[in-house]
Amino acid sequence: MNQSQTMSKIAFPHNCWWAAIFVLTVAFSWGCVAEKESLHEMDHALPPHWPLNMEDAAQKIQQRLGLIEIKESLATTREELSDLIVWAPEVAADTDLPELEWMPIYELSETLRLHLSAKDISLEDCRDDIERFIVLLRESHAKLPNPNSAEEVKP
Amino acid sequence: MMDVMLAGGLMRFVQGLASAAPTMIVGLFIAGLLRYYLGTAGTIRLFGGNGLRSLPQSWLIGMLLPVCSIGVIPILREMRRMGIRPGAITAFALSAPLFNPLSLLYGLTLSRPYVIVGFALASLGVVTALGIVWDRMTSWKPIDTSAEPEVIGLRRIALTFFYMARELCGPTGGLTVIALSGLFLLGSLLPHGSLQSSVEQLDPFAPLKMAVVAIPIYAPPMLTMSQLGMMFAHGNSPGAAFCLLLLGTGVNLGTLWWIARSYGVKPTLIWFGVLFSVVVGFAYAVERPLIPPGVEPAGHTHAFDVYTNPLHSGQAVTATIVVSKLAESIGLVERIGVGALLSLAIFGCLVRFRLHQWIERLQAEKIEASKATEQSGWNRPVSPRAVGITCLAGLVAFSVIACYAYYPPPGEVLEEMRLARTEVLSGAISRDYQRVLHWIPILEEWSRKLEVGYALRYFDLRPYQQMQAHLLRKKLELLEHAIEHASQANQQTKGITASKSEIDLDQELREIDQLRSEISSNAQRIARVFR
Repeated sequence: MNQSQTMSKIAFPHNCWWAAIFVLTVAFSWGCVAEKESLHEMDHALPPHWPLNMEDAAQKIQQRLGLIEIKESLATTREELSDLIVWAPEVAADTDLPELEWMPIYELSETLRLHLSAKDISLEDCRDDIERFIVLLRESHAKLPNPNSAEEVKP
Repeated sequence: MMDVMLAGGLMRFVQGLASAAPTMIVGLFIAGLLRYYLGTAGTIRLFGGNGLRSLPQSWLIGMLLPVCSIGVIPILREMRRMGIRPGAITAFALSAPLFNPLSLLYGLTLSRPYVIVGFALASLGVVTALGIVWDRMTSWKPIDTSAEPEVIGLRRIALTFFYMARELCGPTGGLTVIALSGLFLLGSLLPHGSLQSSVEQLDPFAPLKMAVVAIPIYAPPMLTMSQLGMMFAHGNSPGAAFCLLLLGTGVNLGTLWWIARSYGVKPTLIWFGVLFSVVVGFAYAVERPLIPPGVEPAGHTHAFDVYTNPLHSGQAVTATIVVSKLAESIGLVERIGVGALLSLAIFGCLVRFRLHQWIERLQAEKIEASKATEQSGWNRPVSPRAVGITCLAGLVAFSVIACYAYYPPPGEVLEEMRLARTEVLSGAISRDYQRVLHWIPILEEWSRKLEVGYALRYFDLRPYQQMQAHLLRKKLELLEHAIEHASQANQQTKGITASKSEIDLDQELREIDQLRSEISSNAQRIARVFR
């Protein structure tokens, strides 16, 4: 192998205007971005309808289901109902509920979530399942050592 | 101000070099194997020949080899020298840094697995489409391979090593500096934490902003995976995550420079324009469908803090601060990698400027000389292709073994987690917040390793296990924020807003104690379900 093959050299492109444009763009954007001064704006703000525990989740789901029944539902009520159904397994997992008793909550939540997000079944048709979900959450909450304590689960 | 910018940029440069060091050595080694063992004909066959099959095959090989977008550079140079189809070269260049077995496994724990598998398949679509475009835009013809010199035995091992050293102290080294200059640029120009709220979910400009920032970024695959994880955990834009993966991890300034140098600036601009458009278009298409259900957007992400200046503006810059910050962020593996890389680079200078004539003589000696010493029994001549394929298969096997080593059995991980958790909780009790902030990311990392390690060994990961690990990480993140707030409130109690800050501090301290107790409860559940 000769010298030219083995001793490869770097030759830089003469037309590097694109690099210059990029540098200038980033440099000009300097004024558009600012350093983060306050740490508080990075808070993970909990939504107001986040449930405190399983009983609270059941109550909030039932409340929203009632609003939908009397046709007072807004889009936000439906969204909140979906949120609560999705969040319930996380709330339940943050307790001493055994895995075997947590699984039915998770599975029913997943089934409902899939239907609600795909919108293949109307909310009216899911009503029985949602009510079953409410009962399941209440029963599971009742099995916990200290179900009356509001401080038991903090999200 | 200038000193903060320069020191910040330099720190990002050094951190990037440290991250790249291990995979760069692997990349140089693979390039050496292709050159001296597999040879041109074998390499062309390895990458799927000269037909259309070469595009998906290059993508697949890229997925298996543990290299990053800098480690891929010597391999690309070697592929081009061998006359491999340009489309296959770019397909490999883009896909190899995106995933490797380690990062793919890690990625599967970050979000719903179909998201990561979907990203991988989407990358296949992008590199195939782009490869076809690139082949049409560039002139290419197969080279004659009959005149290749052939060496065997110890001489070949030595030549491979010399080649690695010479490449590092040459074109590959130069391109590495160009690649890392992107990090220097961003670290200098972007103020500390300035990208924290740039990629919010459903922000119509999030994928576009991410795509622009990702161009100068150099990110190794594992870092990108952890960034994707943070983005999903914080409910950030999935489209922006896809842009980061393809443009941040897949290419860097060094790769672009090399492509422009090798194929011309105009075709490169067109190629990159097509890549950029396809990636951004795809990112907007997946933005809504891939939003993880049930994740409340946090309004920020720390995923991109590593690309902004590590120093606060107005902060005093001293050598001690710079060195201590670097020492905190560079792990043992990276330090070993940097040490090996520096040694290789020094040797490379020697090879390039002092020993080159001797090496050329060594290379020019005919194979007959080696054959003369041929012996019977176990000492039999083996074809270079057999040795090369064995080495590459060995690398893939090494990757699989590395997966098991990197993700230890659950019992070992639980013990490591216990130690890290003790540090976090005892730090929180004694209000030693620096200690807590140091150990929180370590505990988070172990929680991910716990999931992957379990799944690797039992081929199963139950939803309850995933949920418990998720809860731990969520609480750790809340603890991290509470501690940052408490530290800030603590400083303000000495100022003019003392009374309000005392109330804030009291609230934060109560939250820290509450989280401490919740993390302890979670520890028992995690230990129970993963044993």
